[in-house]
Amino acid sequence: MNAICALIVDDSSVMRKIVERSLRQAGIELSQVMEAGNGMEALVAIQQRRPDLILSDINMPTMNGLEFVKQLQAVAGMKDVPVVMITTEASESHVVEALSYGARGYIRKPFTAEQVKEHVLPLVKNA
Amino acid sequence: MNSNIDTVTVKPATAWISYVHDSLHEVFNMMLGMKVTPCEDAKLNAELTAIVGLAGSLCGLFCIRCNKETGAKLTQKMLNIDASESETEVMDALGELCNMLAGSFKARVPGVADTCMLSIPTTITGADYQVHPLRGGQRFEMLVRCDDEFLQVILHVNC
Repeated sequence: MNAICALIVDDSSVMRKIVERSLRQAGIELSQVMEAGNGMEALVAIQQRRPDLILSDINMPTMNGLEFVKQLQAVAGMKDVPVVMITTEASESHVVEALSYGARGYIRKPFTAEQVKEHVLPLVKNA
Repeated sequence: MNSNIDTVTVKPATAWISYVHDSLHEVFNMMLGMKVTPCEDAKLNAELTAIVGLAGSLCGLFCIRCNKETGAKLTQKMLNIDASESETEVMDALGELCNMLAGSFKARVPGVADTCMLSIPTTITGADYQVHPLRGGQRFEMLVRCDDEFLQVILHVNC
């Protein structure tokens, strides 16, 4: 597996650091980590560089994670980028909604590095 | 979110407290590698507060309070670093901890997962304030110990 560029979207900088650490613990080599504090910032960030993987919270100010994933599908060249939601909002309706918008995985907070590995590694194996 | 919101049946105090304790165990174990035990009596100068609101079929608030030293130590544990001197980082960590606790709590209450929403966390510095949630409902205060640190957990539910 080649080193990948990951975009981590969460309004908590502490959580962004924890997610990055979990990716590294999962054995995923990161060439670059891009960060965004909400969906709107994430849509700007992807104009700078196309990430290989996106991990996004749902409950964020300005633009939440569900709206972000929905809008992402309309951005040219972004449909194939795997998106995994990492959130406290793990109700069935949220999971169904996120998956219907194009998310490929769903991890409930709190989480372990092992869970990140299990959900994310298969999505980036061929990167 | 379901527009036909049924209110949650009022539960005995032991049920709410049990949900909170289970949430504390899950979050502290998974995110900080710490064990949490109930504590009867401890002096707590609660200078830092994090609050997450609950709205929908279950209304109320979930709140954690601790002193500055405890806030810094919990942040260090979360980030696996030696020291955190940034107050912004400590408040961010406490807010996220409260968010995960409220989410874990909500997931344990039968029938509310799809009909109760969580607010973005609010954090407060300073101990001299009073919270005035909606009248009625039930309020639970718990003191817990994690390693040598003490944390107050407050749950206010209206249903």
